[in-house]
Amino acid sequence: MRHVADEQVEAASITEPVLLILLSLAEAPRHGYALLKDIEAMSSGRVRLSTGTLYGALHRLLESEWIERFDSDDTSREKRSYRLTARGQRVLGLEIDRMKQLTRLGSARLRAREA
Amino acid sequence: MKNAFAVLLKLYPAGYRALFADEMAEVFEETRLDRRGLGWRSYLLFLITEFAGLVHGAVMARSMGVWQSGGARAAVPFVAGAAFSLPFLRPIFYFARYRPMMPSRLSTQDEKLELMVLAVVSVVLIAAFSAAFVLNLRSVAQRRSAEPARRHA
Repeated sequence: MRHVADEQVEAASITEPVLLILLSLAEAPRHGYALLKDIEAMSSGRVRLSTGTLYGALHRLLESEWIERFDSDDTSREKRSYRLTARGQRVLGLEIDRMKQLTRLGSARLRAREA
Repeated sequence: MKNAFAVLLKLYPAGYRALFADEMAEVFEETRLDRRGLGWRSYLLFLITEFAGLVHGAVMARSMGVWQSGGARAAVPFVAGAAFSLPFLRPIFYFARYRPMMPSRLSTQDEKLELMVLAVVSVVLIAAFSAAFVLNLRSVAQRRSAEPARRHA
């Protein structure tokens, strides 16, 4: 129970770059450059992470064990890829639930104001 | 550019560099080649964001290292250094997190030139002060790792 509560607290402190990285990895494992391109595409060009910011976030995510690193099968060049762990999936799920709640609350309050 | 990036990577702690330096250099090079075709203004903004992000990342990585290895005693020089450096570091967080205003949205050539000059001067100043801050953190970390050896001797 405490474990879940800890993850809820952690999920609440997710920054936008971290959320975008987790969302990108939720679809498929990716290496650094593919992550940058996917994040730019997901945000319609609004978010362009610098290399330093990306790897700072990846470092923290690896330490929190939300993602893991592995040697990819990309034979064209030597690349390390990243994928979500079970813990990372749980935290991302919690964050998405929190955002859904906020969206519902925000919509309800706006409707109440208009009525 | 590749060499400048490699030099700035030396600001990171050794463990971090061993884990990520090659990958970071490769990603920077791939992104740089992408951006080069988008015009010099876009390319310059990309370089500013990249180098500011790198220094910001190094500060954060070294800060975490000092906190984790040093405990309460390490906090004193760290807090003093951080308080002194904060006014100079704030623009780095700005450049690292938010892209600067795009010059194409500005109306006159003078405004565009003013922004670019301001950006370049800011980055030079920020880089100088940040490098001093990182070197300070580095020496704190080195002193802390040397202390146990001195005690055993």
